[in-house]
This record gives sequence, C-alpha cells and structure tokens, in this order.
Amino acid sequence: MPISYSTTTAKFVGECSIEDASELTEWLLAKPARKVDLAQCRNLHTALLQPLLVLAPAIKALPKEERLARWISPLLPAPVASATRIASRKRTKPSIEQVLA
Amino acid sequence: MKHILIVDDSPTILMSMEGVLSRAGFQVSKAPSGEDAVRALQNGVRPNLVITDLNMRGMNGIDVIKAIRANSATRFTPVLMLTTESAQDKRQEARSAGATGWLVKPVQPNDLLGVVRQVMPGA
Amino acid sequence: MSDQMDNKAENAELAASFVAETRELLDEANSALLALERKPEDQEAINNLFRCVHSIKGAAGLFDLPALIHLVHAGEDLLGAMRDGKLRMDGAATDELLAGLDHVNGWLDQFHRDGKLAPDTMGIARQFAALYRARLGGERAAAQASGDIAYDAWPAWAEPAREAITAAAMGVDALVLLRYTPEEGCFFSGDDPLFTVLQTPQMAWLDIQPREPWPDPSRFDPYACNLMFLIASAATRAEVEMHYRYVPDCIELVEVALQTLPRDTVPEQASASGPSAPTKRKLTALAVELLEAQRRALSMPGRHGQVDDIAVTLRNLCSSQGLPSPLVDQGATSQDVAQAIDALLKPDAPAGPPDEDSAAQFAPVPRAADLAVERVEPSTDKTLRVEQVKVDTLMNLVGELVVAKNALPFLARDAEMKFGCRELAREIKDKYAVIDRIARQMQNSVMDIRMMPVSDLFRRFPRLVRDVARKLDKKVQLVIEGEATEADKNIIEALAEPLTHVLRNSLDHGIELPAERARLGKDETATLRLRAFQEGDSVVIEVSDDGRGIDAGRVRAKAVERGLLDAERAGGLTDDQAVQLVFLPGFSTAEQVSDLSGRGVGMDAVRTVVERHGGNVLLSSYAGEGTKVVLKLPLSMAITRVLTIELAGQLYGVPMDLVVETVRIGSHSIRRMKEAEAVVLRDTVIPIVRLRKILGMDPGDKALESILILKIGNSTVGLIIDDFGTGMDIILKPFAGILMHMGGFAGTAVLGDGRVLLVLNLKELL
Repeated sequence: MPISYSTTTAKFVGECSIEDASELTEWLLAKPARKVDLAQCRNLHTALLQPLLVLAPAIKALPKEERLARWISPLLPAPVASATRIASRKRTKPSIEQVLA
Repeated sequence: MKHILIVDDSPTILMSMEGVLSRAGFQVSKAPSGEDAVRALQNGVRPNLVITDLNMRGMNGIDVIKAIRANSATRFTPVLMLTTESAQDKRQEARSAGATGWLVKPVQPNDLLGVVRQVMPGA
Repeated sequence: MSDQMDNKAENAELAASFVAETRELLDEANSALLALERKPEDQEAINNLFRCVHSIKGAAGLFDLPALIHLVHAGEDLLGAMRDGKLRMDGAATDELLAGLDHVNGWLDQFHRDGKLAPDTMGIARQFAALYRARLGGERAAAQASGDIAYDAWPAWAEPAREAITAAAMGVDALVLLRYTPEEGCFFSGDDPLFTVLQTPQMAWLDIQPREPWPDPSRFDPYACNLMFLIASAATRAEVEMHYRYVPDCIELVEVALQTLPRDTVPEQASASGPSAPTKRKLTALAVELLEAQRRALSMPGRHGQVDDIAVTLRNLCSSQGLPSPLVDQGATSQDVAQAIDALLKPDAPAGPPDEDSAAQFAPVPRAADLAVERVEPSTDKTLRVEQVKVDTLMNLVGELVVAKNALPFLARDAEMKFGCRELAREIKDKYAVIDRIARQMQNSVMDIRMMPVSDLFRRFPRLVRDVARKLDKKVQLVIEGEATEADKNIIEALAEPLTHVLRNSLDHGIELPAERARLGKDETATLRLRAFQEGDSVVIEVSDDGRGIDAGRVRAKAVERGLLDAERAGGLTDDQAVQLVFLPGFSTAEQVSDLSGRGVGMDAVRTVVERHGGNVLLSSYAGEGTKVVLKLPLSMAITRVLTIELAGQLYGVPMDLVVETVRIGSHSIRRMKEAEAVVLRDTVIPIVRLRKILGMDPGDKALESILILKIGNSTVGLIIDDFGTGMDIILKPFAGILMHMGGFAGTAVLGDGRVLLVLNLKELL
C-alpha cells in the first residue's frame, strides 16, 4: 500500500497511484486536522494532487524526489512542524498566488 | 516490477515486444487475441499497462479498451494502442474509447520503451 | 542513463539499433542536403532533413553522447529556421552541415567501436554549433531589425506570471508557453496529466490551477480532473507538441520571444543576486539539468575517482550562474560535493541570472526520458529490422541443411544395398524429396531477405560526385536511374568500391572542365549517368558520361610504354580493342592516377572484384562523346554446386559447371614436352597442369594420377589433384577483410561438419 494511514498522518511511500485517491479523500475529509507526509513519495498521481490542493491538509514533509521537489513542493503549503497551527488552516484553500508569494 | 500485458494476434510482434520489454526489466504477459486478454483481466491479471493491437482477428483493439474501461479493477490502467499510419482516424476513436496513447508500427525498441515510460509512472 | 537501462544486453541492443538507425538517417540527411543545395525551395527536402536530424538527436539522447547531441541540436535549430523560411540554404551552409554530419558519422563509428566518444569531440561539436548558431544569430538580428518577429504574442493566461516566467527562463531567448487542460474524465483513459507534465521537455516554469472553482469539499470528486497546467518550456515547439501528441485537443501552445537583458546589465544583476533578489529566482533549467547530471554521475558506482572533475564542473556552473562556490577550493570529498549539489537544487535556493556566454556554451542537453518518446516513424508496412549477421547465420544454416540433406540419398542406398531394406530405402527417398523441396523454398526465402535495393549503394554517390566535382572545378549533374533494382546484399556491397572507382575515373579523366566543354559546344554541365536494371538473372549497372572518351592512341602508347604488349601488336588492335587495354593489370599507375581518382586501384581491380563475384565488366568509349562502363553481376549468391577435391590433406571446391569429367590415369601415360605436360584422352591431346605446382606445394607424384578435365572458356585443360571428393551444394561466400584481394580463390563455404571449404577460382589460376 503506497499510502499508509496512522491516526493523524497519511504517509505517501513510493509510487502513489489513483487507486488511493478515493480513500485518501475520505480519510482527509473525516478529520480536518489530519496531515500528509510526502517525504518518500516518488510519484504522485494527479488524482492524489487534487485532494492536497482542494482539502489543503497540513504538510508534514515535502517530497524528496527531484521532480516533485522542484515543481510540486512550491505549490503546496510549507511543511509545519507542530500540530498547533493546523486548526487555523483548516480547509482554507490557498490561492496559487498566495502559494507562490 | 512493472507488469505489461501485450495483446496482438501476430506471434512475431508479441515475441519481439516481449523481448524488448522484458530485457528492459518489465514483467510481460502475452495474449494472442482480444478475447484472451479480456479473459485474463477478468481472471484477475492486473497489469500496470496494456499494449493492444488495433486490427486483430475477432475482438479488435477498440473493443479490448472498452472492456478494460468497463472493468472497475482496470478502469484507470493506461492502454497503448498499436496502429499503422493509415489508421489515423482510428486514433481519435481509440482515444474516445479510452486509449491513453498509441504507437505506430513498426515499433522501434527506443520508441516502445520511451512511450511506455511516458504513460506508466514509476517505469 | 544507467538508471534507465541497467541491463547490459538491452543497452547493447539499443546501441546497435541506434547506430544502424542513425547511419540510415545520416545517409538520408546527406541526400536531402544535396537536393536542397540544388533547389533551396524544396520544402520536402528540408522537412526530410529536419526530421532526420531531429530523429538522430532524439535517439542519441538515450546514450551518453553529449558532443553528438550538442552538434546535432545546433544543426536542428538552424534547419528549423530554414524550414520556417527564415533562412535559405546555400553552398557554404551545405558545406558546414555536411562537414558536421561527417563528424557525427565518425563519432558514430567511435561509439560503435568503443562505446564512447573521444575527449576532443566536444571541442569540435562546439565549433560547429557556433558556426550554425552564427547563421541563426544573423537571422534573428535581421528579423528583429526589420521588426519581423515570427513569435506569438503572450497569451492572456500567461500575462500575470510574465515576470516569474521570464526570470525562470533566463538565458533562453524563446519559450514555448503551454496551457494543458485535461478532460474531466481523463483518468478513465489511463491518463496521469501531472506525470505527463512533469516529463515536459526542458520545463522552465510550472503553475497548476483549478479549471473550474473547486466545489465544496464534501462534493469533491477525486476522479474528476479539474486541473489546468500552465507551463513554460525552453524546448522547441515541435518537441513540446510531440510530448503532448496524445492530447492535442487539450493543449494551447504559443511560442514567445523573451526580452533579453542588455549585456552590460548582467554583472550588476549578478552582484545584486541572493536572497534579497526581488523575485524568487531559480537556477536556469539548463543549470538544473547539469546539476542533476552531476548528481547522477556522482551516484554511479566507480565514479568516485571523478569527484574532482565533478567538483570543477560544479564550481564553473556556480560562477556561470553568478553564485558563490559552495565548495572549498581543494580536496572536496564526494559527500561535500553531493551536499553542495543538493543545496543548489533545493527549490528555494538563491540563484542569480546566468551569464549569457556560458549559457550558450552549454547547449541544453535534453534528457533521455523526454526524448525517447519523440520518434514515431510512420510506415505502412509491417517490417522487422534485423541485423545482417542474423540473416547471414540463417543463410549459413540453410546452406548446411542443403548440404546435410544430400546425405539422405546415400543413406537410402545403404539401406537398400547394405541392409536389404527396400521399404526403408523408399521411405527415406520420399522423405528426402519433401525435405529437398522445403530446403529449396527456405533457400529462396533467405535469398529474398538478402535482396536489397541498389539505392542503398547509390545513396552515397551524389555526395561523392558533388565533392569531387567541386574540388576539380567541374560542373556535373549526376542522374540516377533504377534505384529500386534489387540484388543480393553481398553483390551490392561488393559493388561499392568498383563503382566508386569508375565514377571517379569519369569525373577525373572523362569529364572536361566547363570552359573546355563550352569550347567544344557541349553543355558546360556534364551529365554522369548511373543506371541499374535487371537483365535475366543479372543485375546490370551502367556508368556513362558525356565527357571526352578514352583516347585509344594514348592507351596504346601507354600500354607499350608499360611493357604490357609490343608496339606491333598494339598497332594491330582496333580502337575498340585498344581501349580494353585499360583492364590490364599494371596499366593504371600512380603517375596516372590523381589524388582523387584513388589509391592506385585501376580498372583491372574493378574487373577482378566483379569477376570474383561471377560478373563481368564491359567498357565502350567514343572519342569526344563519352565513356560507358557496364558492370554485370548475378542477382543473388545462389547455391553453387562444387566438386570437392583433395590436395595435401586439405579439401578444396571446384565449380561443377567447369568439370567435364574425372579420370584416373597411370602417371606413365602423361606425356612431357619440356615443361609442359599433356594426356591423350579419346584421341584428343589435353594439356595438363598440376594444382600442387600452381599453389606452390611440393609435387606429390603418384602412380595413379587423378585428373579433372575442365572446360574453361573455349579450351579444355586437365588439372592434376590428389583425389576427387563428392559433388555438393554450397553457398559461396566471397572473402572479406584482408583476404579480399587474395587471388585464385572464389571464396569459402562452411561445410555441414564445420570444416571450411576453399573454392578455387580456376579462371584466375589457369
């Protein structure tokens, strides 16, 4: 299973395909404070990027993979270390301009 | 290891593509007809990519693609269609039927591997 | 690209395929170039040329061939401008491009031989790239001066990000801007748009936006694609279109020019760079490519010895990007280097604008993954590309089968005579008939595979003729006819050298200078005609020119001077006969042969090669009107029936069609007259020769001599050998390599048991 879920974090490992999109979406919708760890994600399917952009979960770690790091990380919220800030961020969709700024 | 299902009624094409793909590190299954391919998928074969010929005796490539899309386990699987240059109008049909891309015969090893890597993440 | 192709065999196969393919493309590019030089407006030729060069670049991207790619890439840019009508082909540009392609051809040989390129190649590549780019520069300057810029306007969607895009693409003067809006249901076509986007060739900038405003999270459908990708790429429009060829309806694409910063402002910008730079700057796409390449190099096993090289590259790269070097001056460990690369590649790493000069020096080297998909050669036929050696193996096997099946009749005879099984004998004969039929069909099929059109051979001649004519200041039009004529691969290959020589002879000696032709009332441009056609079982190749013809008087004089015949005999020859003297060995000499006409190879060599392949050469010449050389060869290397003979324990073959009969005669019946020997057979005196003597072996007199009675031309001759063998069908292979010019032998054949049979060329020996 490329995405493994703990109580608070979805951990993306290796190649994450569309097969996980439905489960991820439901899991993120269930509790807004949940976050994702992309550090070990090697490939991110479009259908998995969408929930990250729409539901804007907090990012625990950005992907290390070269292409993702270079092109996708700038479009995601900066990783947060503590859980305290997460509540205030819930479901606010950052515009692309905000992300780029 | 990534798994590729090749569907073609020409044993030569099957063999040559299997050679190129398996040497490039893919696990390859071969189906000598559209019917065989669909049966294999119904029986739980789960390739990461399907490459199917367009013109085959019996079930043709378009029908194979429709069957793949109708199966909930394979609806997102990338499918490449093998066509000839003369079948240009078929490409749109293939695309509408759910093909991810196509390859023009005769397929050069470099092209085959290139396109496979383009449509199959993690290859 | 070791990570992509970890399998050695696959790699070798790809490399072999690449070499073969690129050779073909180079040939094609050469002919297109020559066509274009004659007719610069020939759109088809420029399209072909562009496609060839583009394809070469595409395939080369799979291998570690930076110099080759660098040169070809610059050539492609130049040809692209020509294709779009911004530049015109001329003689000088043709020369430059031909010379460049020649280098590529040479590098291909190196790559084929050594698996890599010599270190000096990059320097050559840069020179040529600079030549090509200089032409392009002129074009750009001219276009800009006249205000005639062929680029599109910035699309509205890219306007808000114009500054960011320009900053990201620093160092490039044109960009492809692309908006990719996948269909909502694209996941159900197996698409992964993000994956496609991330592989965009030379992507310089990316933004992702929702196509429609996102719905309320509770109604969000993960399987509906609602994204829009905004992309800027430094690749060519064609490359980007190729990458997105499966989704042509979902992309909007424009090509825009970038405002290049005035040169003198660059250093100031560089000094002002750093975290405080107003826009978030990234390294140029090129720099990132290079850094990634360095990282890959560093991670390859066995590359640790090259850490210093990589460190040097890294320092140069940083200085070109206006960044402080992240490394200490000396003794950086591979870990230091790796960390430095990682630091530079971090998305928010500070980066200054690049120095334009160094950006031009490192042409963008496209990545294999981007390029591998760009080549889909259209073809309506189902064809299979097979290495020659495989067909040769098949042919050898068929040959062995043909030989092996010949044992069956003997087996049938033994079954009947020795074991008294008549039933079995008949059974074996029946089976033999079946196998014989199949073997013949197989033989024909293999022969058919080996047939190739003479165009493969003729392709090289337009270039040869052009180059030689230019060098000699002659005007020549080469007319080629019958290119589709087919013949066996060996025949075609064997023809290459003689044909080259005949053409050079025409150019060098036959065709007059334009002034002389004008004086003679001829068209200043000479016509050199190369024609191929089939005639019965032969392929005929004619080379004719409308030059001055061969001067029979001069040929006579030269032949006498060379001591090839005496003056009296020479005087007795008709002009037509005299002209044939050029075929005599020793007629052609270094003195007569110019540096162009070859390497001391005369017409006698032409004749030897052609005859060795069972053909003949005819020459006719009319003073003042021209010369015609006709080479006639068998269509295919069909199976030859030979009689095997034994000599000093070694097996030789004699073509069966020469053998009249075999006799054994007591040595006392051989009559000796001085050196000559003869036998009387049915009241006819037949001169005999001893093969041992001809081949320089010890004489091996025996009481009972075995004599082959041969019919050679119009004369009958007896050949004394050690012993007769049997008749057998073989596939004759001419000598190759260093043995090629060995006289006296027609070639070799491999026998069923693996022994090699040398087949004698008795016409030459006797």
